[in-house]
Formats: sequence, structure tokens, C-alpha cells
Amino acid sequence: MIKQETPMEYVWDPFVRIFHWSLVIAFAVAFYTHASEWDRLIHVWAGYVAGGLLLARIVWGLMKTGYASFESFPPNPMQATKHIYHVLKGNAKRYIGHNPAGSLVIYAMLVTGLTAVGSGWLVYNEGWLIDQPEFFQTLHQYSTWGWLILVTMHVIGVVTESILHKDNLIRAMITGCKRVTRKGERQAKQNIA
Amino acid sequence: MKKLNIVLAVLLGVAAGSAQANVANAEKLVSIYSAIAKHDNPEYAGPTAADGKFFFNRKIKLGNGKEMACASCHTANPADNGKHIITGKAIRPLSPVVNAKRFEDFEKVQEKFTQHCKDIIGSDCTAAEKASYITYLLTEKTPSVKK
Repeated sequence: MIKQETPMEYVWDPFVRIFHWSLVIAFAVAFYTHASEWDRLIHVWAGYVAGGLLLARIVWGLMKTGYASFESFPPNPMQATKHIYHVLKGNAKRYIGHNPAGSLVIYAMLVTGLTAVGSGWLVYNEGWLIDQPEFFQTLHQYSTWGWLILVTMHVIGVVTESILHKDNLIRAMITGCKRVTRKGERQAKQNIA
Repeated sequence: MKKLNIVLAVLLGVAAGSAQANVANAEKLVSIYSAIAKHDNPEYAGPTAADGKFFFNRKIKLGNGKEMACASCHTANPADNGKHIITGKAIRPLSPVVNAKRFEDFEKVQEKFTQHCKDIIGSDCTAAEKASYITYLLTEKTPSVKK
């Protein structure tokens, strides 16, 4: 049987892909080692790596980096709501980069992630100049659990979109390529309305 | 003048009360853990500071051959600052008499107890052990004189 090659297009640059999977690993390591005092140093270093990755991603997003640039997926709650509505109706447009609902989760993950790392850093360093260890411990707990909830939303979104548009988004984050839009398929190049 | 004295006395009382809230909390926890221990074992004789002190300094052999006690990080005097043996970071005194922030939040105390007991002993400590442990902490009121 001759397998027909699906024409592909390049979407995610190497930085985005390396960033994505490194962050997955750093988050997983930090989460796995959070409870035991024996693993405290590993937990702290995993957290610092995650923080560094998030900052680097923000710098990358501020540059002209195509689909990775923040310009290509502006936060737009109205569009996001519309997109969710169309997903539920089953006629959502196909976005090559981030869709409007996914974009909001991305921004929320960036902010929550930095809050988790920042509060963790302050817990570890006794509040640095602000002597409020209890407050930072609570903030660290809530922000990390919030981050985990957002990651779950992200994964649900990825799986939903993969099924809905018959595309493998997980593979796309590994190879960088997504299938090209078929003729007659509704697509949006950017998620700006 | 008499009125002012009463107001002052009340204010002082409130101030003293709030400063001792952590101690009162710790005492409440002792009675809660004792009640659980009594429930588990009707023969239970109640918590003692001596049991707590023994538990605190008892060296437990770990899987990697190292020996560890509560005192390894918290030092032999719970009224002193401790030092985390892995990270080297300072740990505030455990004794609620010295450190007003200790025993503020029951949930946090329970969580830390379970986590640290699992870290060292491999399973959660018993209610009887916890009751004696806190009883002992309450007796340590003076930090060692710094050299």
C-alpha cells in the first residue's frame, strides 16, 4: 500500500519546541520532588530552570518570531469565547498557530508559572527582604496547583483540537510541522479577528 | 485614673494573650493528639516531655546507612535556629515559646509532621509520638547562648 504523504508546513521553531519539552520536564521534576526534604535542592533547581525557561520564552515572544511571537496570538477573551462556542458546535476554524482559547491559557500559564517560581524562590530564601514566609508558602501552593490546572486545560485543548481538525498537535511540537490546510477548510492564519 | 488602669490591664492582657496564642495552639494540639492516642490505645498514659525529648534526639538508621534525628536539622535545642542538612539554609526555632509563628496553622502542622516523618521514619508518626513531641517543644524556652 502506498501511503500518501500529507503536505506539511513548518510552524514551531526549534526554540519553542526545546522550550516546551524542557519546561514539561522541569515542571514534572519539581512536582515530583516537592514534598521530601531530601529532594529539596533538586526541587529548587528544577524550579529555577522552569523560571529561566519562562523568561526566555517571554523574550522570544516579544521578538519577531512568527507563530511564536506574542503578536501572532494576542490575548482576546471575546474571540476565545467565540472559539469555544464553535468548538462545541463542531465548526471551529483551524488556526495554524495558537487558537484564541489556547492563547489565553498560554498567557495564564506564563503568569502563573512565574508566580509559582517567584514565590518558591522567596520561600526558599526566607522571603528575602519581605519577612512573610507563611504568605509566600501559601502563594506558592496555590500558584503551582493553579499551574497544574492550566496544564490540564492545555492538554485537553490540544487533544480536542487534534481530534477536531484531524491533526497531531503533539507530533507538531516535536517535529515543528503541521499539515497544511485542505482546500475549502476554514482556517485563520492569525487569531486576530 | 482607675478606669485608665483597667483599660491598660485589659490591653496588656490582650497583647499577652495574642503573644501566647501559638503556645495555646500547641497545647490544644497536645490534647487532640493525646485524645487520638487514648482512643487508639485505652492504656495510653499521656504525653511526657521526656518521651518527646527521646524521640527528638533518637537517631534513626536510614536506607542509605546514614543516621538521622529531628535534632540533625533542628539542633539539640528546639529553641535555637536550625540548619537544613541538605540545603544549608537556616530553619527558624521549632519551639512555639520562642517562635510565635509555630503552631499557628493546624493544617500546616499536620502536613509537616506527616512529610517529615515519612522523610525520616518512612511512615507517619503516631498520635502518641506527636503529643509527646509537642509537649517537649513547649518545655524548651531558652535559646542557647551564642558563642
